[in-house]
Parts: sequence; C-alpha cells; structure tokens
Amino acid sequence: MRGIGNRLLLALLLTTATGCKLLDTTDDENTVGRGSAAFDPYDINSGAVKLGLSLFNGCAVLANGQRVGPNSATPASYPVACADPKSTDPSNPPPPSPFDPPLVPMQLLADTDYFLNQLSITETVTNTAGVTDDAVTASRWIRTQSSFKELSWDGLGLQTEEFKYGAFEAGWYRETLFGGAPWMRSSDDSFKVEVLGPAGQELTTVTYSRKEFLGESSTAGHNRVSWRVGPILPPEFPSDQRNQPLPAIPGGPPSGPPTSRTMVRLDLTGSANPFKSMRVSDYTGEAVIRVTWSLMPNTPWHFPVTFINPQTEVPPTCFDNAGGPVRCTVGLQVQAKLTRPANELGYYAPGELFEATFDLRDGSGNRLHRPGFLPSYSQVQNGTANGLLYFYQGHWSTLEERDVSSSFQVVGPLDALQVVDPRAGPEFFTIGDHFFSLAPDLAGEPFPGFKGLFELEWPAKTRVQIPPQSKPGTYALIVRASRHFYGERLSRTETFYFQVGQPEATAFPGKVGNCQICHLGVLSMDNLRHGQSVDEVETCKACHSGVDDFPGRINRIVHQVHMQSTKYNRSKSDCSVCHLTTESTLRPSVDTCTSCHVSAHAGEYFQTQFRLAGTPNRFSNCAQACHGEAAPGGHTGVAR
Amino acid sequence: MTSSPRNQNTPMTSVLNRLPRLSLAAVLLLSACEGLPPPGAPDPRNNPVFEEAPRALTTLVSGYSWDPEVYAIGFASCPPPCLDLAPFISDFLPPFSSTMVAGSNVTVVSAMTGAPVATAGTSGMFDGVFSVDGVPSDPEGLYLVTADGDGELISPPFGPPPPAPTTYLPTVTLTALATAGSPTCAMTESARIGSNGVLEAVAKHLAVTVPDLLDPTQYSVVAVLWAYGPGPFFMRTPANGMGFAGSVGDTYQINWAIPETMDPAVQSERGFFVDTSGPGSALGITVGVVPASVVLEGPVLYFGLDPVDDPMFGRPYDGPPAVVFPSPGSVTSASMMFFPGGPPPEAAEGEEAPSNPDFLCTPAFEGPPPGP
Repeated sequence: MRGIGNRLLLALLLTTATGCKLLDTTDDENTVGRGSAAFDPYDINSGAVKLGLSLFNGCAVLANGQRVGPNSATPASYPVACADPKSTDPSNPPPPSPFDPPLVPMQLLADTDYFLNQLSITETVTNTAGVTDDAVTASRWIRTQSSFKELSWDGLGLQTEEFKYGAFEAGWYRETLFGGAPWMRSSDDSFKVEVLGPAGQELTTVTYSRKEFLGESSTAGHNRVSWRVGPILPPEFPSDQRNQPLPAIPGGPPSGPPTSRTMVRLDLTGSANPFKSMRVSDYTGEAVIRVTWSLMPNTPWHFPVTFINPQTEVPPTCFDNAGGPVRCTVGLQVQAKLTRPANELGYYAPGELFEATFDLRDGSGNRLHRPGFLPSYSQVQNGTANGLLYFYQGHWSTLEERDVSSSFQVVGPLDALQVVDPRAGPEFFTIGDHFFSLAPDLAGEPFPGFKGLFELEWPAKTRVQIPPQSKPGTYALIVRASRHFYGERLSRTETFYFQVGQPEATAFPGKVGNCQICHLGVLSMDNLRHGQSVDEVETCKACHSGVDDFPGRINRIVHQVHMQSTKYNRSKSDCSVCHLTTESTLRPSVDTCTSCHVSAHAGEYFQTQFRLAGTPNRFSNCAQACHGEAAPGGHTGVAR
Repeated sequence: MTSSPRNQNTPMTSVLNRLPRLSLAAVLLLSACEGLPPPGAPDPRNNPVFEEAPRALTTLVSGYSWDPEVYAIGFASCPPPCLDLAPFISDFLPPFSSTMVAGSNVTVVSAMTGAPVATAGTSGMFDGVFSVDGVPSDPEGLYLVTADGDGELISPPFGPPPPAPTTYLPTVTLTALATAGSPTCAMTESARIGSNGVLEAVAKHLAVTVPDLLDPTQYSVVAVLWAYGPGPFFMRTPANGMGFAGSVGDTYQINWAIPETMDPAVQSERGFFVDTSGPGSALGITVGVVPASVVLEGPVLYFGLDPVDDPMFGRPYDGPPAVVFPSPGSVTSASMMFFPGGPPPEAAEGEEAPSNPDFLCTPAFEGPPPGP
C-alpha cells in the first residue's frame, strides 16, 4: 500500500514538476545549439582569442578601414601605398592630400593564444577599362591578371546572374557570380600560418585545414568571384543585356554613369577548431604573419604585425564605472537599460515614450566608451574607439564584409513575427525596415562630410515610442556590437525583452528554427555572424524585411546561404528541416522562389521580379494564386 | 528492537495524512509555474533591466556656429555658373567651410518663454562646433538657439580670403528644435550676424547705426532672412532673386558688391547694400525691421516672394512664412528652405519620399509655432 501511495504522490509531484520544467536541469548554456558552454569567445577566460586577418588589394586592413603599413619584417613586395577599403571606388582615388590618414601598425598581444577565425583576401577593381567592362572582361582579368591568377581557374563560368535593388543609390544592380573553378569546391586544401620575426626567424607556425572553417557563402559575404554594375534600370526582358543608366531627376543634377566592379574574395570564417591556436611567447616587436594557401603555394599573403606586452603596453583607454581610465581587454559584452515604465507595473503603455541606453564593454566588464556617450566616427575610423566598429559603405560594396556595424532594432510583439511583404508593411512593429546604427550612418559619410557629425560623440541611447495602436505583448530590443581589437574580431548580439500593453509574456510563433541541428558547439549561432543566439532566430525578420537587397530579406538570404552551401548536408528540398509548421512554407513569392530557382516558371513572371510595388510584385504571396495549400513539386517534409 | 519508522509498513491513513502536505507542495510548485512564460517565450534572463529610478529625458543639442554672411559672400564673389562651390553643409567644402565662428556662447532657450533651458556651450576654436547637454525632451516644448559672446571667424588654410573682421551681435537663430523624438539634435545651426555686414547696409539706408537697430526702444524686431532653394537638409543653395515681405514693418532686399566699390554711404564694410531695384534679392537676403513704435499683436510673419517664373526648376518656389517674435537686444536670423512650387512630382514605383534624420529634431507639425 505504501508503494502505491508513494507512486501516487510521486506521480503527482512529477506531473506538477515536469509540467513547469522544474526538473529540467539542463541549463540553456549546456543545451545543444548553444556555444557558450563549449567555447565562449566573448569571455576573457575562454582561453583563446578570435583572430581576424583581412587583406585588401595587397594591403592588410583593419576592420575599421585603416590600412596597415609595412614594417621591418615584411618583404619588399609589400605595398607602400594602399587602396582605401572605405571607398566605393578604390581604383580611382582622389589625389593625395595632407589629410589622408597614415598607414598604421596592426598590434597583437604577445603571450596570448589566438586562433584563426576569419581569413579575408579581397581584390576589388572598379571602373577600370579592361577589367570591369563586362562579365567577359572581368572573367579574363580574374583568371589571367588578378593576384589570384596562380589558382586553377579551369571550368570557371557564369554561375548566376541576379538583379539586386540597391539601398544606397536607388536603382538596380546586375550581379554576375562566377563558379565552377576547382578551388571553389575544394575541401582538402590548407592554410599555413607562419609568424616570422624581422630576421625571418620563425616565431610560431600553425596549419589550418579548409574544413576547419564554416562560412564560405557569397550571400553571407564570404567567398565570391563576381562582376557587378549599377545602379541601372531593370532589364526589360530575360536576355536584356543592356546596362541602362538611371535617368536624371527632372531639375536635378545629371545622373552619373553606373559603377562597375570586379571582385575576387576568399573569405573563410567561423572556426570549427578554436583549440588549434597559436602563441608568440617571449617576443615583442615587429613581425609578419605569412599565410600560404596550399592551392597558391607561390603567392603567400603577408600581414605586418607588432606584438606588444599585454601587461605593460596596452594603454588605459577603457573606462571604469566612474569614467576613470583602465586597460581594455579583449572580449565583448553588450548591455542595455530601459527607462522605467510610467505605470510602475513593469510594462509600457502603447504610445509611451521611453529610452534605451547602450553600454558596451570588453570581456572583463570595462566600458569601451565613456559612460553615456558612444565614440565618434572619427574615433572609430582613427582607431581610438577601443576597437568598436561602425558601418561604412566600403564594407558592403568594396569588401563585401557583412558583419561590421554596431546597431539596434526594436520589434514586437514576438507572436506577430512573420515574413512580410515590405510594401504592405509588417503586421508587427519595428522602428524601420532595417537595422539602425548606434551612431547614425550619415555621420560617417566620407562625402560631403556633414558638419559636426564626424567628430560628435553620440549619446549612447535611443528613444522609442511604440505606436498607440500597437498590439500588446512581448517586444524585443536587439543590440549588436562589432569590435576589432588587438586582432580579435567579434560581433555580438543581445536581445532584451520588454512588455507593452500587458504584463503577460507572449511567445515567438515557433514557425522556423532547428538551426542547432547543425549549428552546435563552437559553430552555434551565437559564435557566428552576427553573434545572435539560436533562441532568437525569429527576430531576424526585424532587420531583414526591407525592400532593398543589400541588408536583404531573411526569406531570401537564408535560403540562398544554405542552398548554395557546400557544407549544408541535409536534403535541400526538405522544408521541414527548418520550417516547424506547414503553414510557414506556404508563403512563397517570386522573391523567395528565385533565391534558389533562378528560372522558376521559365521566365513567365520575369517582370514581376522587378516590380517593387503594385500587384503582383516581387514580394507578393504566390499562395494567393496557386500555391495556397501545397508547396511546389519537389519539396518534401511538408503537407502536399 | 525498535523498528525505524522508515521500516514500518505505512498504513493507508498515513499516506492520506501525507497527501495534504504533498498536495500543498504541488500547489506551491504550480504557483511557482505561474511566473514562467509560456512555451516558446523568450529567455527571461534577458528581460528588461530597468534603470533604478524614473528620470526625465533630456537631449544633447550639438551644431555649428557660423556666419551666413560669409557664406553668401562666397557665392556672390563667385561668378556664374560658379561650379567651384558646393552648397553643402560640409567640413571640407567651401564656401561653408570658411564660415565657422569660434568662441560663440551658445544657449538653448524655450521658444515659448525665451528662457535658457540648459547650461550654455561654447563653439570650438578649430571647428566652430558646440554642444549643449541636458536640454529637456518635452513633447510639448520647442527650443531655439541663441548666441552671444565675442566670437571669431575661423580662417581655414584653404578657400577664399576671409572678409573684413566683424563684431558679432547677439543672434537668435530661428530654427525650432523638437527634442522629444531624439536624444541628440545634431547639425543645429547657430548663426552669428556681424555689425559690418547686412545690418550696416540697412542702418546706412535708414540713416541710423547698427546699435540703434538693436536698441529695443527704437526697434522691436530686426530679422535677417535667408532664402535657400529646394534641396536635402545638408544643402543651402541661395535662392537668387527671392525676397520676403513682412506682415508688419519694413523689409529691405540686400545685394552685394566687392567692398569699397560703391558709395560708402550705402555699402557696408563687407560689401552689402540695400537693393531697391526689384522685389527680390540676388542673394535671397532680406532684412526686416519693425520700429518700436508699432504695437505688435503677435509675431511678425515674413512671406517668401519669388518673382522668378521657371516651372522647369520648380519656380516660383513655395514655403511657409518665417515667424519672428521680438527678441530685445538681439538680431534674429532665419534660414528658410523653400521647395519647388507647383504640384508635387509623382513618386516613381517603389520610391519612398526621403525624410529628414531624427537627429535634426525637425518639428513634426506644419505651420507657425505657438507664441508667448
């Protein structure tokens, strides 16, 4: 009888306890998909530091756009003048001026373990006859004259031609991606990383396999061989090869010619083996990192570096809580605080104005900026912002680097998040259809240099007003920061939830997910670009829902990234890998379908691709026409 | 041997006796569940971190102290088509880069009362930039910028030679700031009007002195109105030919000639003079004055007048009037951006109308601001 009673009581308790997961002892940090427990690059005590190495047109560059000059350890072949990665037309720079920024050293910390997490080698040529005239010219130059000419280019051909709608200059961009070269699908190649002193002495050497990097997708800003021209008018028919300049605005200045650019970019990112690290001990001073790709053994890349003593040579440029100077460390923390709701009930009323204050810190909790104020663009671009990064146009157009800005967004309620037609507007609230930089982008514009903005230290806060008619529920403040500090390249996104209109939390729709099936451990979402947890993937729509294609819409780019990937090893036609509900697969649009099927419907809806408004347009829901109850043929894992 | 209670058979009554306690435990557990979010709700660890105490919101007002006369001279002295000059509010491009004033004492005041609302700032010695922190972010409030103090024109190493030095007068800039929507107001204009430019030209025309114009017992309103053509917020293209007409008092259209090339009785030291040849000004500059003897029943409205008829370029331009309140002892400077006349152009497919950045703190409403 005692057994029955105990079992009865145990069952009662278990039912109660499991119902509210009180017996669920798994910490989120330890669950599959979360990387922090396995390796947290943001933690100063993680054991190794993410190293990002970037080379642009032969010169090492820092993520803030500064160009790295030669030193006593670099070979004579290292350039003494470097193209500006911040420029959108780096091949045609303005005449030299006394105001040109100097070349700078790239400093690394001695006696510190680094692991190579990003290797970016970019060569971009703009508006240059014989290189950028058309795709044929571009292809020939890439194969025979670019700094990548040592590679085997056998089989190189046109992979895709895509038209993208531009953000910075309203217009269309014709983008040709080349594919088929052996190196693009290679996986058994490797990168020998040697650190050499001024006399050529070896300080340390590590060899990384290509397999030890995750990210290679051109959509995500990684490997690409391309030719792009724009802004232009959209094509009028499928074989229309004209690149028609935009007409001048009546009464406005004449429209300039479109910009043509040819690019080769090798960008490997996302280390799968952060425990393979390198360390330079008992040495400070100038050195060079020489990286030799096994597929280009005769053309190594050189990165001039200077090793400094982390205990004595790091200046106290961070701030303590009182605003006093302290030495920065590597790592990155993103914090935010909100002003208190007026009702003292813990939630904002719709229509209430409130403020969020940003607080960015290093891995030890030191402030990267003086309390209450963010660094100016001048400080960021001059390398005196403790590594904090802001957006600049060249990141996108010249480097194709996609994870640089420090930005924020507000979105909600979470239960309303769904793919949207940007023209119809979302059914959820955002403060705009893309991210907002913590300090306005305009402040960093190189031309014409708006008065007083470049040098201004911006208040580290933003003001938000959820409109009075907004739906109640849980909203999110999403804050991302990017940093490049003593070689460490990090982006981190944190999401801060708050209630609007009601105290009861509302949940994400739960329509997409499962990222952790592949993105686990050190390759979990919060260890990759943009450093955002898998728990928050449904907030991607907050920033990736706009009309233009350069931040891109999540429904398009997430398919492109995975369908083009050589490392995505699931069935590419099985929607259920990522779609958790059938309904979520049944909102196809020309925009979504052409992300994988370039010739869907054999050009029947060709013009729809270029319609930004009206009915139908590129964002229109095809489910309302034909695909309302079943996914198109060939797709599995969903109700048909 | 006494059996341990653990070893005794437990009668049903004992189980039943335990039930209330265990039920209580279950209830407590259930009540603990009530505080948890529903399945799929966000991680509560990232719930908001509110500040410790409520606080009033404030705004940092930043901008530049400049001399719009120097800007106008830059255009006036550059013969058409004057392609060397870009009409941008830019650090790097003349003529704007030659107009910065260092050492201005800049105050943010309530547009309603004229009272200062925050500690004044001083424009920088090298860039003319000022910042004033702690301006209230009152949704009902509108704020203006005033400047006094000596001030000194900054001469950049490049650009045209500077005009004659001047003594800067206390100046109210008629650009209203709505601070509620943004923690930062940037690129805020704080104009400085000097004693030997447009006001000297008007004083000579009226046979008085510049100090007379600023004497509240003689004049209640002295306003310098600058007409600029259509463009984005960072452009200031002088609207050649435009003038203003006031609801009260007199207006004088201003022109410019190389200094010391006209009768010194009519031309100011910097080269300005009152032009009575037409309804507008070649530089889009008008000075309005209201004698103190005129009883004001409200603000003075200055309406833009564009005699140019050129529909291709959207002329005549259109725009709201400048609304000027008396500011005893100070001159008011109003930079008025006009927009093309006629029906608005149809937006191209997919094209969105550009909007000003939040950091300009442009008031959302249309029409004149409320007066005192």
